[in-house]
Amino acid sequence: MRLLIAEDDAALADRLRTRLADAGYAVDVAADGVEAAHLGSTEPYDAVVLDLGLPCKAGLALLREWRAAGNTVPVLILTARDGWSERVEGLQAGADDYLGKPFHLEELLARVQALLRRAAPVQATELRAGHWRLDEARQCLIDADGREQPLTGTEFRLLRYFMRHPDEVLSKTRLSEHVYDYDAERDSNVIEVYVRRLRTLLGAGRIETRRGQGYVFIGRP
Amino acid sequence: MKSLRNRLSLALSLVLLAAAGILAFGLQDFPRRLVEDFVGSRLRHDADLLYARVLDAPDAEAAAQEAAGNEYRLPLSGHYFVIRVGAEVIRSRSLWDEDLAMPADAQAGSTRRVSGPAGQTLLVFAKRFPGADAGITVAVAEDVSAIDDAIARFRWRLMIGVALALLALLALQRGLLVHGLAPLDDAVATCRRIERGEPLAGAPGSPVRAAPSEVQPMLDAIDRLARHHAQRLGRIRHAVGNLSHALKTPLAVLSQQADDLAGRGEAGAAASMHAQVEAMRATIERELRRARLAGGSTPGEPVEIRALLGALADVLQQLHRDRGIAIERDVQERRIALDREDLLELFGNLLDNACKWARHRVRVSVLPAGPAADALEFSVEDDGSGVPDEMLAQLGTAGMRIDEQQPGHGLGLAIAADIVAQYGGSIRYRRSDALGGLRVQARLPLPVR
Repeated sequence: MRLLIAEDDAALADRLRTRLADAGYAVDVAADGVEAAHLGSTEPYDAVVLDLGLPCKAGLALLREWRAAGNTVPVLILTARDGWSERVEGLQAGADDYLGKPFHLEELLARVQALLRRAAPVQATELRAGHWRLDEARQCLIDADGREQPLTGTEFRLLRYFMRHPDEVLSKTRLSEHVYDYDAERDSNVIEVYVRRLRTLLGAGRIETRRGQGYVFIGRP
Repeated sequence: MKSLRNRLSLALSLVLLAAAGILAFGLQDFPRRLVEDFVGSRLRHDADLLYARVLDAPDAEAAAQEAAGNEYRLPLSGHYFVIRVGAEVIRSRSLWDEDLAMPADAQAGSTRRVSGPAGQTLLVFAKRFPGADAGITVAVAEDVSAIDDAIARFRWRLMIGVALALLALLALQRGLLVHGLAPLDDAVATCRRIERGEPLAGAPGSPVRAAPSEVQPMLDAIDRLARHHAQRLGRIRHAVGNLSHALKTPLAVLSQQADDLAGRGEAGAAASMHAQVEAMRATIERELRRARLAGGSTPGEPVEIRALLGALADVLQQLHRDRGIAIERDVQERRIALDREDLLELFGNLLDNACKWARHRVRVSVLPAGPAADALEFSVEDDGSGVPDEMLAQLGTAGMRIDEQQPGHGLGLAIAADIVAQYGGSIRYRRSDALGGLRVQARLPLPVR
């Protein structure tokens, strides 16, 4: 899952990036409206945290442009201008949620997770595969007996994306786009390594290879 | 309140009445004098003629009878004379054997009315001329009763004519005043339009025709003032928004640093920092929101309340969509001359508060315009657990939070109460009979239309 944070305050943006990266998301930060507009329309984000008071280009104008261009990425508006007329305006412009500053990071995280859950094909709060359950807070797999199987950051991110998009053909490019942020070294061959590792954990039949197309995560229990 | 129209009308009526009175009085006397002057001068002429003939004539009687015209010979013709030469008295034949009362003071020649034979009214001119012995006194008379009748008839007609003219003038002046002052009524209506933020005359789409050149500059000035006011409100709101943004982002950073502190085990310091940040945030929020309120005296585009609540309900249902809250709206289409942002803020806070506490249902009802045309009366209720009766009185006071566990900042009701107070309205809290939770009921007076 990959997020874009459009926030001009460097200190706040840093904290958001750190916390969201800890929670297992690939995070890009845009410090002004033009950069945010560019990233938002070229990169396949799963959600955007958008500050309305961006320099160079206003957040609302940005949002309207994306929606007019058919970009349906879930957007959480983060702003100090939290009068109801602005909220109504923001949500009517196509935002999905609204959070006024100052806020608690945990509340922001909860809202972002709710946005991602609603946008994904699978909206359950608990992600399951066979007897395994994915614990998103602790980033590990738990089996029916309560035993934990730790996951690395990339494994967790990849598995979560698979579990949110089951029975869909997912190309290696798409997987790497949603698992890594903009600055990361992207090597789609690395995805193969992680898929192999997940197969040993969940069983070889769980993730099928479609030659020349990508992978399909089998959603049945 | 004194009416300019009535005052002017009264003054003009009095002037008209006085003018008519003077006219009636003057015209009443005028024809009589005219006739008396005319007849008098003829009588004087006849008297002079008679005197001239009688003065040196051997037979005064014969000379007088001959000099006088035919009308003096016909009995009771209405034309008479009497000449007194010494002791001799010459009477016109027309007098028959009646006498003509000779005025006593005929020294300089005077005209007066006397009653004559056969019920006639005579105008008598008498003059004493110098001559033999005691001089010659000549009195000539003419019957004026027919003329008097004509004058009386004329007077009646005159009175009726003046009365009719007066009535017509009174009606005309009232009409002129009403018509002439009508632009003032239009101006009042235009001011109300300005108050409601509708376009002025001249603007495209305006149904109002332009006011006369005496009134239009005033209306333009008022319009400019209203626009200036609206612009200033807009600037203040923008500045407040900027200030709020500038203050809250550092507060957000501070709050996150407090989280870091807590993460490093300094829970006490983190808690006190959180408390300070929260206090600052609450103060900023409340005071800035209060500064943004337009208040009851500000003109603005009328707001269609049904559409406004519809948009707001959509937004709130989206914000609270995970909890599946349904917002029922019992509201009819109605345009309300209150500030749109204030209304959004008021209903937004009340509905958001209701959504936070509700289990499934929130209901907002606005009374139809009929019984409450001078006010906006509405209620917002939810099916949550409600507020204990002993706490109801404290609701809406600053910083009051019934439950610290609920998300949000608990300022909603206080802000709503501020807005209602700003508009001079009233707000009441009680248990909802229909849904079981809290019911907030408020009344906002509307500007006079």
